[in-house]
Amino acid sequence: MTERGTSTALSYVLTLSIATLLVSGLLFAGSTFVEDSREQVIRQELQVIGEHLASNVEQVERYANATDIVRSASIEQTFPSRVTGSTYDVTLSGGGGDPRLYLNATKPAVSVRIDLDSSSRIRNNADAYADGGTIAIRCEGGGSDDCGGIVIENV
Amino acid sequence: MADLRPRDERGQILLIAAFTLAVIFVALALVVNSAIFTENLASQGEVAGSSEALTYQHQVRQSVTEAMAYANRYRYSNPTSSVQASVDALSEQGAHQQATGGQLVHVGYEGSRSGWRIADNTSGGSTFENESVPVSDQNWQLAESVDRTRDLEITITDESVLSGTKASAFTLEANESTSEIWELRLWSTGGEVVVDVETASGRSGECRVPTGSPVEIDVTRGLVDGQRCHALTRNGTGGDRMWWGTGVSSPYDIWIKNGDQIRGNYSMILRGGSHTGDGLVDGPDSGDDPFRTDAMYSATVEYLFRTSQVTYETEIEVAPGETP
Repeated sequence: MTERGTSTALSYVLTLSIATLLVSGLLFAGSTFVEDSREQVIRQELQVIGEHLASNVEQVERYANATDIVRSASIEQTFPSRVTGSTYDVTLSGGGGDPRLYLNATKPAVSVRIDLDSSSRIRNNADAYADGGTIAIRCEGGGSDDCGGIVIENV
Repeated sequence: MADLRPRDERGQILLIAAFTLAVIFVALALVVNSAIFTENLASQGEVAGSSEALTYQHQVRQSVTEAMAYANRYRYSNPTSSVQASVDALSEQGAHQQATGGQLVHVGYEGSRSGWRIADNTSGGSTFENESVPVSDQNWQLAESVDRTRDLEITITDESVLSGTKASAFTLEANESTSEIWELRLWSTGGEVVVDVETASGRSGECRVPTGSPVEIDVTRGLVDGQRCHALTRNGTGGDRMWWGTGVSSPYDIWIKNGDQIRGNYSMILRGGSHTGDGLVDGPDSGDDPFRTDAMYSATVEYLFRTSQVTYETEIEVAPGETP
């Protein structure tokens, strides 16, 4: 009867191993699922913020085109400073005549590109930059009260 | 060899697993919350007031256009003060209206460019002759060395007077020299009125409207009876420019030829230049001869629109009925 304990020890080790395996699998799957979902949500949120900013850029462009003399034109909009816990920045790029907005989240690294309508007011080789938060799209003087270029900046 | 450890020390794996799962659920809640916020952000429209800035600017432009038209027609002796008073009233009323929507608006008169108006508004229309030109009264120079023209309108009141052929048709001409000539000819085929244009570079086009009095031709806006006429705007698939005075250097002269081949009224506002010949009566006149008055060619107003998120400050130059 005193040797029956061998079976109990083996059973204990087996139970422990299987439980550890199952729990590790569950934790791994769970954390991967959360991380994937987070990345997807960050991508969607950057996309939405980018579309809003693109709309503001195009509206400022309309302001500039409406008359010959523009003394000032700007649109500000407040966005969350973090997307799903990650900081991000926005770059308005001339793209060599093919203007784009790039939104980059830092951790996890997610990048979104929004194409804008071709515009001569977004300078070809200039990159203007802003962090998350309140972001302004503004006309920058090109001399004689004209809207020489459109820039993005934090307020 | 029964229990390897005391009973109250068992279950650490489950405890750690439960704790980690709890953290995962909290993280998932954060992600779901962000997703909901994203949906909320996506459903928001544009920045409040950003469209109104342009809409109200358009209204200001329209209002100043009307004020200028009124001043040029009825306050021609001093159109500036009339327009200035209208702009002041517009600013005050607009500021009150827009303030209810949380928008700060200001409109201010900045300045104007003077011009002059030529018109023949004989009731029922008259031929476009000039009785006072000694040599040939159907071919005469309406204006000399004009810089710009706007609101050039011709109304045909009696189509039976129109020539039946292009060769002898009524012609309105803008010319800088013998080589730079832009011509508008109007004649009738019986059932249709033909609007025929030839630019200085030799491009030509025509559009036709069914006969039916009166036919209104807005030359500088490119409209015939309110409809866009490609012969006065852009022609063909290539979109060649056909607008009033295309290819003619400024300053240019304006001539009427075969003025006896049309019956109706006309009106235009000119910047620069003069009328050196006889025939234009000073001040409004309802007689058969055309008249000239002083007029405001264009006005400049400052426009300010501000909300907590939108800033738009600009100068608007209003010269209604100019070619683009």
